[in-house]
Amino acid sequence: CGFKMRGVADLKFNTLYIQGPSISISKQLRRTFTSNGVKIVNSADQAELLLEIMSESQEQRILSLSGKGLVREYELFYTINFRTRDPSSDTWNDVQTVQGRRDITYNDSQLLAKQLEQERLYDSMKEDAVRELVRRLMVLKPAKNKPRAADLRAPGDTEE
Amino acid sequence: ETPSDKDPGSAPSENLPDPDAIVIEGDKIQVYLDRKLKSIGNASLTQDQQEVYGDTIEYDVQNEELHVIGNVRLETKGGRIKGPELRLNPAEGTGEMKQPTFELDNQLGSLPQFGISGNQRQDNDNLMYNTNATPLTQQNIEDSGYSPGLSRRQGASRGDASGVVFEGPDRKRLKDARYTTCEVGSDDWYIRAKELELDDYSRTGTARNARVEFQGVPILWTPWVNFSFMNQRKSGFLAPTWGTTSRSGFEFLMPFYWNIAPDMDATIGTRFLSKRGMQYQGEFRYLNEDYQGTANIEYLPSDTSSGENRYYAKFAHLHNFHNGWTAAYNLEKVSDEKYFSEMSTRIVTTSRVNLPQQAYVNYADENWTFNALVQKFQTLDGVNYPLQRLPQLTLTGDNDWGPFDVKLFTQWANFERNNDAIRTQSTLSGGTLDTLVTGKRLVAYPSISLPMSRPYGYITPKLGVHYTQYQVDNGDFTVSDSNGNITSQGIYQSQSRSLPIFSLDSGLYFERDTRVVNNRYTQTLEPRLYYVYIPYRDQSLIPVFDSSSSDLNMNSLFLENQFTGQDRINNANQLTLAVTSRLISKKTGEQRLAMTIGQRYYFADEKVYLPGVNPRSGDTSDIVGEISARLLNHWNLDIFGQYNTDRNVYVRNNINARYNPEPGKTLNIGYRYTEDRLEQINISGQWPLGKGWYGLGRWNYSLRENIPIEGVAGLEYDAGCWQARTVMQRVATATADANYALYFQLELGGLASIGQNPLKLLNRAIPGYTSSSLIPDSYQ
Amino acid sequence: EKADREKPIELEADAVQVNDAKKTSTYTGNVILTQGTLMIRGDKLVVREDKEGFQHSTSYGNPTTFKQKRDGKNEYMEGSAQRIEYDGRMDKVQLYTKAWVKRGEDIVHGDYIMYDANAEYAEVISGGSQAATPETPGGRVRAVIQPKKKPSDGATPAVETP
Repeated sequence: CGFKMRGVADLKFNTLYIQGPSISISKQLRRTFTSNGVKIVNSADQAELLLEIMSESQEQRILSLSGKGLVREYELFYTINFRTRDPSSDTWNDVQTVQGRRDITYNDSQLLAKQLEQERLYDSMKEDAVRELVRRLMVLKPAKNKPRAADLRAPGDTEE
Repeated sequence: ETPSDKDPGSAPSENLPDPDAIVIEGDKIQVYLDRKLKSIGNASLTQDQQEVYGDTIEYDVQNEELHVIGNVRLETKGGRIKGPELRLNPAEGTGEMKQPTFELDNQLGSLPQFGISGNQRQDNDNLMYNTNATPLTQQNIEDSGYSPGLSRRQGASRGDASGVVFEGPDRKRLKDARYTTCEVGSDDWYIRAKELELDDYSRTGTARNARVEFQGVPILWTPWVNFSFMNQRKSGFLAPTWGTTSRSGFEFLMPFYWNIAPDMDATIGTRFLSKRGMQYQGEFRYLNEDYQGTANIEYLPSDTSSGENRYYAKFAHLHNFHNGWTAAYNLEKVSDEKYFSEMSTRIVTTSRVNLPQQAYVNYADENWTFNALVQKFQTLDGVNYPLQRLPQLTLTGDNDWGPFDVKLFTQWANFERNNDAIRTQSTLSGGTLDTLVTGKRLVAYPSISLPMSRPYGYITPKLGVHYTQYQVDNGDFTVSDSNGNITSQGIYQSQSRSLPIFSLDSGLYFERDTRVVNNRYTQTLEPRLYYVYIPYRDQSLIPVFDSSSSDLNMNSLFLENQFTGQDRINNANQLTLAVTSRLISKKTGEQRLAMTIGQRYYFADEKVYLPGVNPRSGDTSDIVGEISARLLNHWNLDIFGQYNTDRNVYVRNNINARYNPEPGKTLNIGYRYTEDRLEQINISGQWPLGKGWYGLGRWNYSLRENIPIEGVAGLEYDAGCWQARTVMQRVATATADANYALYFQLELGGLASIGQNPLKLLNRAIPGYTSSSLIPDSYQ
Repeated sequence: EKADREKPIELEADAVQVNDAKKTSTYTGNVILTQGTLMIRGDKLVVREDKEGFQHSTSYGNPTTFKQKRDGKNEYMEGSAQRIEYDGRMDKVQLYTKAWVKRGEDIVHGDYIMYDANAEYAEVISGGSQAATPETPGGRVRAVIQPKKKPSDGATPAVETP
């Protein structure tokens, strides 16, 4: 039915510089990029793409209440805002958002256990956020003026 | 000695006019040498950034006096002032003008609205405080109830006065001034002040003896209030708020904002409650790049209803040492258990059962994290007393060692009980567990895994040893079922337990290009296989400190141990299979649709279980399915199903759809079902009704208890330069009668908001709600 | 200066035509007229003597210019236009089209400028949009006044000798 094993990701950039304060997913982010064949450099001018993580936030909202006004379910959000820039241009692309959402049942008698479960769900959202962020960067088109090995390789490739 | 004879023909090149040269233009100019210069006929005079226009301009050269007559217009940094006549000394910037009207390029912004409007701001302080408490990010300190992403509309503002005195280039003092943000021609509201001082330099305005008139009716008077142009913080009275609740009757709050220093401010308020008396409130905040924190105090001396002194106090502080070390404390206390339910109407507050009193020190670097935590709670419901950790020390490591990934989890904790904790706790099966067990627990769980990954898939074998040692005090316990007869009895023993844990995680990634309508997507097919083997150890005499069963979902399906915490490690010989398919947009890389289905197959019976819970029957887990869609037509869909194959019945079933085409239009429909616990419908939405009106609503009905849990109904009107909203809320509460709350709020062009601020309620009750003051006009 | 009127008029030019009947003489070719501190230059200059014997001159040029010391001040008035008419009797200068008059650092532009040296009064009138010049876009009259150097101002003030 047309499915084939995923091949090597068609890289639009080989070196990346991650700007901004280190946040909880910074290590995972570096690991995932490296395993996808992107080299993390530590200065902007060696990088073919700049990534800035603007903000990271965890939020918890009441999702459902019992008849007695006690919390039955929480909704957890994990959100990062980021933007990218091609070193050749000095304007940043628009800010993009990646948001994960989970819900968790809650019972006042299991507070400590639910605390640990909530942390685990935040960690799982962070892993998904890293994967989604890497996917978002993989589709970035190369800067017009700079030829990419990929472009030269398949001249017939139609530009989307 | 005649000046050098330059080529007389060309006019002297005014290359760069001296910046403070005065340039006067007009239809006709009369020059009285060294005395006066008069420009007649749409005259203009410009110097530096100041520009003056008028019918005639007389400039007295000697004492640099300007006299402008006839539709005078003075352009300044922040805006422009018009009037019939102006006297001005451009150099000193002093002078005066009769009957001026003025326009400011931006609005005198009000101060960020604090939560001190009758109840604390509890949005992000969840009662389940996790060990490394989420730091008090900038966001939740300046939480002002506006939905993220849309910044306030910055329109112009205008006004007039009987006279204006210019006291320097940037300072103007207007007498009997009127100020509004409404366009010319609509005087729906304005602020009338005996005196209004505008300071372009510090971008602030101060009004004395000011009153707000709305549709001609004076609705607010204040002896002294000041504003900032660009929402900078300025000490001054905040707009008062009032409202009514069934519990505390009519209430009126008058807050004063004190901008102590650039990194420190405080809000002090007195709140009158008709059924209780006068309450004093204070919120002190500080923030700089090393540390941040808040202190909230509420004090109500001799509550007329109950006669005692009632107080609430919260102190939170986060310190960042910038070398990986951080430390924080978060202490909350109330005078009595009824405090929240009687003094507040917001569910986020009234639903609080355990107030955290904790402090932690945290270290994190590339490979190691360390956390030292001391945590106990003030319990308000007299039933659920969480164990206190005095202290808990956790050290985790995660290092690469060649191709291997070596992880280490070590923890030592001393669990104690709140001394007025009761013996009986409810068990998960509705029965009770009677015990007062406390104890110390040491955990060491080293593990090594070999992640082998290729673009098309991965295999990760993992082996670990989970060692735990308990030192138990007064360990006798009795477990009885829901109708009270004892099912097991005994004494928790000090003991140790060590268990090898083996797991094998593997997955493949298949992809193909597909086209839906005219968008090109990559569709993935991701089968995943996860095997876990853990031998059985009898743990029935191990006390339960922080273990419980976790919700079954895509996350917990792929866990070694179904129990959270360290006290119960399930015996396992099981295989989990799941398949995920995603639609990823080729253009933006965004995931439009994700579908997942998974189930676990048990090859060994469940021999380890929590007190009072009967073991699992059948050799497969429930089937878990999830669909999450973020479609291009602005529809969001989140469906979750947990189906029990033995009993052929849904254990959990949640369907949630949201339609949010643009700011101001949102509709949420949700059905949530958890067997024997919860079955609710909730519908909420905000929809424009035309001509600036918006309908707001939420209806949350419990099918299981056949009662409405929460009803919210509201109307919002946006007249461009002012917004008004009224919201009625009925919410079920612990005590018999439901709690009714009525909110009314008038927002005057970002300058003042009068009345009880319902924005936080609306943000929670109606996901996707946008305050009409933020909706760009194009959407109206 | 007032004293200029008693001074003799000297004239240089490439050529001159005298018309005794009208009591006018026309000088052409980079004409320079000097009378005391007054100096007028131009391509063509017509001098006319009125009944009381006062000399009136009209000079043409692209541009024609004049310069005169102010009475009792060590300061010069300078001006330029397409046509300058000097009334010897009234000591009044009129400059027509694309005119400007400069005094020290201050300068005035306009389509027509009348300067009365006795009254030390000048009047500048705009010629409307079609008379626009680079200095007076839109044809409006324009005066640029350098402020008296404030003591606080560091720049060396142009000392005005009494």
